[in-house]
Amino acid sequence: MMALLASPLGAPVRAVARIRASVHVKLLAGFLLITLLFIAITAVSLRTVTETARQTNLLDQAHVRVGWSRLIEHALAMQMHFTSMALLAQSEDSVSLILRENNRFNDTLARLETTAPPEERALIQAIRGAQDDAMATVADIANALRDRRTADAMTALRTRQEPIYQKIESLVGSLVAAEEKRMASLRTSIEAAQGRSLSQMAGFAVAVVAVALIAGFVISWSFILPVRGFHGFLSQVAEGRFGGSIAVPNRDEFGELAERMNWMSGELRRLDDEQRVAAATLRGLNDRLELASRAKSEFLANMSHELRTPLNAILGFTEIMLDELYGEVPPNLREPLVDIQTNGRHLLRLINDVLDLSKIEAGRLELGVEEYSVQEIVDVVHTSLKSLAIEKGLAFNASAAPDIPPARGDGRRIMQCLMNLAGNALKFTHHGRVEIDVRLDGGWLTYRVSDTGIGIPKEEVENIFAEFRQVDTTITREYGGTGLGLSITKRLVELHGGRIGVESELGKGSRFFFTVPLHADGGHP
Amino acid sequence: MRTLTPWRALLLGLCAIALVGTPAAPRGAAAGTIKGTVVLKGATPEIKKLAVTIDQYVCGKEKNPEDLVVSPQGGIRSAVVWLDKPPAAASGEALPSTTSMDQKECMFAPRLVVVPAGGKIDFLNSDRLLHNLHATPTANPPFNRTQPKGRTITISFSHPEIIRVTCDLHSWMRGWVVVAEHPFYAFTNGAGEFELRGLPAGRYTLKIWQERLGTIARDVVVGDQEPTAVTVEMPAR
Repeated sequence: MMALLASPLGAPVRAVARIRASVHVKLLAGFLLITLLFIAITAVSLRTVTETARQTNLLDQAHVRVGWSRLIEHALAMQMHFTSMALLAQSEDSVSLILRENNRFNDTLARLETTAPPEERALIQAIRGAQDDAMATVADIANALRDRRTADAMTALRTRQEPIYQKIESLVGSLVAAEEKRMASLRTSIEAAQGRSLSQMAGFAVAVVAVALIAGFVISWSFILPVRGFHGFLSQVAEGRFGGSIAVPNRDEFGELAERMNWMSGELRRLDDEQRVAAATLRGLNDRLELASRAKSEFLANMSHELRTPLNAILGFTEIMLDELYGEVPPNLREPLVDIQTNGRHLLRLINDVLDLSKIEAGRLELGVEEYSVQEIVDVVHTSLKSLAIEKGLAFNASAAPDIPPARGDGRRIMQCLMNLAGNALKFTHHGRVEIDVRLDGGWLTYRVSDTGIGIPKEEVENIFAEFRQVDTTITREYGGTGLGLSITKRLVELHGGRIGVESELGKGSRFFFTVPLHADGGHP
Repeated sequence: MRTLTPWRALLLGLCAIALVGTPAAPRGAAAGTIKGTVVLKGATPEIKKLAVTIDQYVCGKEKNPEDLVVSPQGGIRSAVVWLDKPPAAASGEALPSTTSMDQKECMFAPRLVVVPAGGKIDFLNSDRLLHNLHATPTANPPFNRTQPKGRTITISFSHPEIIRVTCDLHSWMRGWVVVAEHPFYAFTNGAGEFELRGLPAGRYTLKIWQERLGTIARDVVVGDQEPTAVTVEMPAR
């Protein structure tokens, strides 16, 4: 491209680009230029053809005139011949033959005169003058023959007709010579014209090809150069380098396009800068939010710990009092004490849950990874909750596949998860049964809790694992609970690198399950 | 023989009218006049042009036959009208004793001339080629003369007759010489009109001749006062 611009053609290419006209007009002008050249060629060749035709025509005419001249010579000879014959035959028929020949001679001469070039007119006039004399002589001879004046006729023939005819013959001879000379010069001139036209045509053809090539090259490159520039420019934009600009010499549509592109590039640059600023602001805000959130979680964790200490004291002393270590408890005090114990335990569970959640959110909960027995976990959960099931009159079964080897993970947390799910199931099931089962499938343990409880509406399934969520607020009042259980379970399962899910049908029951690796590496969610 | 140029012929004719014609037809005296028209009865025949193949440079490429020229109103040109039996006492306007007939562009011009018996015709040739006058009359001697341009051939006609003149070299050429027996001869103009003057009142027979239509006769009564109007119809044939 640069090589082109440096070449002698670069200047015209730039000049064409700078012309303040549309691409359409430029292309049209190019085609028009070539068309005009072709028209010029055609005009020149037409002119040559016309000229040649004219000269050929002149040649033909000269040829015809030579023919006529020959006819005249012939008519002369025939007149002499018929005159002799008439003298011999003395008949009217032969006389009329002479007259006929004489008129034919006259007619031919007249035709010759009308078509003659100016330089031959004088010669023909001379012939016609002689012919006028000949005409009178022929008439005299004819009339003499009719009058049987043969001697007069003979005299007229010898003394008048013969000299006149000789004169005419010599004049016609000069005429033929002049015509032949004329023909020769016409031939030469036609040949010269043909040679000239041939070289003219060749010159024109070469010029047309050259002009067409140069015009095509210059015009097309004046379009190709900006297009290539645009290509490079757009590649920059595509790579995300905004704000560059492009300069083309064109003042046509390409020039306009370049202006638009420069404007677009500026706009892109501006938008990009704005977006960067906005992103930076957002990042700062996010960092601050994260800090605030962590502070909140730490505060909650500390707070929970601080709350647990006095609560343990309350629960401990209540238990001691109910065990009657401080003496017999009067019957009217036992019920309030049991209430204190129940509510205190509930409060403790709440605090523990909040503590767990806070620890998880603050990133401070770490799994105590060690070997554990799945069977043992299932048994503990079953045993712990069996009394609640019996109390509600529900069938409650728990089983683990017998082929499960000892697993690795935080057994205590896994147990907490299973306990949460089973506890929920028992809580929301009024009749029927609750089942726990564990299966090993390709290195993954699947814990499942199925129930025949109230179920979860479809639209709530998505939110069931969010913090402080139960299906609706009436449930909290009816069934109690913190609403943190499922959330914590989800976080714990995820800490193990597993996932949790639920399948449920409203009014028919739910099936909660979570999957954890048989060998969790632990602590690295 | 001395030749007569057309000018001299015309002068002679005028003299003849001045000397003879005027006193012979005293106006309003015992002289009647016939003013007539010769018209064609029937449709005007279609004119077929004659193709010319020789001497085209002078003669042109085609010719009107001119053997029957009819005006839009039906008047026939060059019909000859004469009294079959002229009145013995009267003498009409004498016809010019010499007249001329030219040959122009290979046609006789005029096509028809009338001369009194004993009169002469100067035949002229304006064409730059040879013509050949040829006639074979019955009452007058025949003639056959080759004529170059500019030469005048004068021929006398002694006996009343209608003579056809042709040219041996140009077959379409026709001329007519009417040798009049007495002064009461006329021929029609382009509109078919003719006039016979100096007639005493009385009953006459008109003879009308046209080269293509032949001769017909017509009786007419002439008074002394008003010109007698006659329309003669010649049937086409």
